[in-house]
Amino acid sequence: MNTTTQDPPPAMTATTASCLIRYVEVWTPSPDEVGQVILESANIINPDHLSPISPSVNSFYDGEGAIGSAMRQRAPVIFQDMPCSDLERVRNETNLSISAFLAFPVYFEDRLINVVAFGLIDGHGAAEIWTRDDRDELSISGSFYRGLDTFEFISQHVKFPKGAGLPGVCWKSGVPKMLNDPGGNPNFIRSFDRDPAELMSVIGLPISRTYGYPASILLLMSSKANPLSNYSAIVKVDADEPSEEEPLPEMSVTAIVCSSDGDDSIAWQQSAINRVASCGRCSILTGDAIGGGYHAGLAIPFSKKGRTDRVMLLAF
Amino acid sequence: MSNHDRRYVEIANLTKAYPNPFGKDIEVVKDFNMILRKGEIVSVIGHSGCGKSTVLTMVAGLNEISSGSLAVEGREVSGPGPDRAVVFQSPCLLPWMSSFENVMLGVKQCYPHGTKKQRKEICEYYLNLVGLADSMYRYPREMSGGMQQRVGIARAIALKPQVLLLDEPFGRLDSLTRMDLQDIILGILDKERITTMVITHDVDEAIYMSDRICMMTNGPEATVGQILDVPFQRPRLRQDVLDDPHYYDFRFALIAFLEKQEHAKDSHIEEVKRRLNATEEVEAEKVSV
Repeated sequence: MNTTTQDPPPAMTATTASCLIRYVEVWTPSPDEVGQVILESANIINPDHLSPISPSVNSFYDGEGAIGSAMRQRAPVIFQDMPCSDLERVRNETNLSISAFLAFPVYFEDRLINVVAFGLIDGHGAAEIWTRDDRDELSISGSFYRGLDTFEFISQHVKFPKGAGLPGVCWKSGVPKMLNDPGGNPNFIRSFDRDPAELMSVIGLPISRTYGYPASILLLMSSKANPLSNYSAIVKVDADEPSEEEPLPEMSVTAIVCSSDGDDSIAWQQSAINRVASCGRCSILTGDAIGGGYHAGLAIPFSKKGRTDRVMLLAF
Repeated sequence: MSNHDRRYVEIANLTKAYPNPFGKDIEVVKDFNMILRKGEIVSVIGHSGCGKSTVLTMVAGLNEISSGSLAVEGREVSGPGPDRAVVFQSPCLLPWMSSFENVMLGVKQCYPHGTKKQRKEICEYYLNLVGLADSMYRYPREMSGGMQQRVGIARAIALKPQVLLLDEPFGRLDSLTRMDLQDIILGILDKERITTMVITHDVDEAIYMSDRICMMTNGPEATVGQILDVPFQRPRLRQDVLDDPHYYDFRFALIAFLEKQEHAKDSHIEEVKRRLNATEEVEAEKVSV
């Protein structure tokens, strides 16, 4: 299976301690009960190792808590200031200062394969949930911002039709997109010059489908101070497969390296991508399954036309 | 609000292509999508030459659509009609007719079964609305640019259009007259609740007048970059809008978008030059070989 990535930009120094994502849960549909998901894994992301934990709750029904809400709405959900049992649960069980709990469903075509949840710390960066409204435009339905006050205010009033902006491009193409240096990149239309956070990369993930088109887009924004992870990439699987015309092709696949300790070569990614593409489900990668000098990783597959088309890889 | 009113004007994948003498058509506007609610005022802002007026003239039916569709109140429309009235930058009044007669020209077409008295009342009403009650029988040569533009506005809204299209209506006017006419138009639109699209270069005008601002990318293949909802309540007082703590945030967002489009244009030009140079080098190599 062939993959392509562009040459990554020069590595930047960062440590896992400053990464926005400090906690990851992966939930799987129960084989025994419809409308229920069971815990596959829960991990604290430490600077040099992964700590699995056993949360007090290991299953949710449709509509229950943040995980169940993501299932029911077929869209990402994010909780920060309002009361959230899952946010409290994670704070209590991990002793981490988690500021926000983000959960989003992952589909293979229309079939739910996983619900992934992140615990985000209080650092510069953002997560946005864009949902289609009655004008067929994407508007923000949930968000998390730190160090981006003006950007946050303006974004609440911004709408993107299909094909416009990163959310609109993800909607139109139906595949994840990543772009680097959003401040200097003309394809990232909004500006954050007035805010202290220096955004370094933005990942757009199409979530769920309605009539064949994604109904919500999740945007994850890394800053220099607090990248999402030490390494982020959107990798196209089967590079030999001819791809249909994509808008803004220069932002389609790229990788950004945040740690100077990591290996930038493609080989270590290949096995991770192969594993996810073959099982078709999200995978927590540790030990031999993750290479490149990273101790842990998360790979999330995205499907198109009945097969895994892209994989998002986050390495710590 | 009914579904029809929520999707009063639907512009779907509007594209304008011009033939290229060397083969492939050039799409100056591509996949322009926008939905306007009834009574909404939407400004379209972008760099000069990006295609804003092209979009407006397609919506007005004065410019043939290459592909895509336009619907008003659920009916697909093509070609010009009194349901979509246009006010251009230049008033284009007929010089041999007075203000009253210029307005009456359109009213006669739209109210063929009305009585002479009814048509007269309509013309007088709208000329009064734009503040020209005392100048109804003046000729264009006897009026200032601002007054002529007021006649143009009265002429358009007297048709009772479903959609009002304003193509930089204040572009030729001085600042004070501009502000005056903005207030007049806003007052009329608040009263008549006509769905309006305004083409403008002026970010302050866009923020003051609009419910939404559509930012167009640069051409070719210009399209909607993003849409900004303006939350200021109607009716608007200029000073209240200027005093709003978020006014400059909106202003900054618009200017930042336009600046980014400028950089994108420069990058595009550099890329085209680079490709042309590369082609020339290959051709030179072929020749030398």
